[in-house]
Amino acid sequence: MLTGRNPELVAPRREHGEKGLDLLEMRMTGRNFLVGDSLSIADISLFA
Amino acid sequence: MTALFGFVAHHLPTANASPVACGRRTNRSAKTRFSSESLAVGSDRLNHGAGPGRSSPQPVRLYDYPASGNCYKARLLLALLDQPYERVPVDTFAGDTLTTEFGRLNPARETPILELDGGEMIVQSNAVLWYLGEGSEYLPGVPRPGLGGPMAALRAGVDRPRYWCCPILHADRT
Repeated sequence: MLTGRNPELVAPRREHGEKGLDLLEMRMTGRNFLVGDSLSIADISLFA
Repeated sequence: MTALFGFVAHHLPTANASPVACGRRTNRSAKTRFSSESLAVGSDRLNHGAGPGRSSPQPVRLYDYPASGNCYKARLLLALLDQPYERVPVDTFAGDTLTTEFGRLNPARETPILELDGGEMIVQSNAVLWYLGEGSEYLPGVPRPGLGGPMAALRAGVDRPRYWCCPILHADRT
């Protein structure tokens, strides 16, 4: 996708990603960290 | 979310941290193709110092493409753990991952790769996170008998397939 060779993949992947982000947003409402009360590898793993 | 990113921004690792002596150096694998540097982000320790709650840390080498978010995750945790490491810059778009040499390190030709002192390669960023995080506050409830032990490396390798897809890609199944 980064190279632009498969532009048809962009829209469905974006939609897929946005679904995930919506879920994350719901999960993170009222919380600072994904799991527990402190930073963990769960939070770090979401960077990419 | 804001608090999380604020916390992490405060601990941002950089690729330009002051190099320190890295103790025992190894002469393996891609040394002929890639130049490396020793980093101790946030630390001036001369040994491969232990992070909180850790024992016998072993030297590690990170094959790292600076612009990669996945490599960033590995650098971030190494920094948070105060774990010195040897950084081997890899330029994906310059073709570094297409070489035969790199293919021997990781047939999937991806970064990051965490190379352990025994020559084991841990690939997939989340496998790297799990391996590094064991026994630390960043992976609570998971004891680590000895940092860098062969079993930990084995587990990281066995776990690799489950990290091929990130949680967001699985989001619609949860």
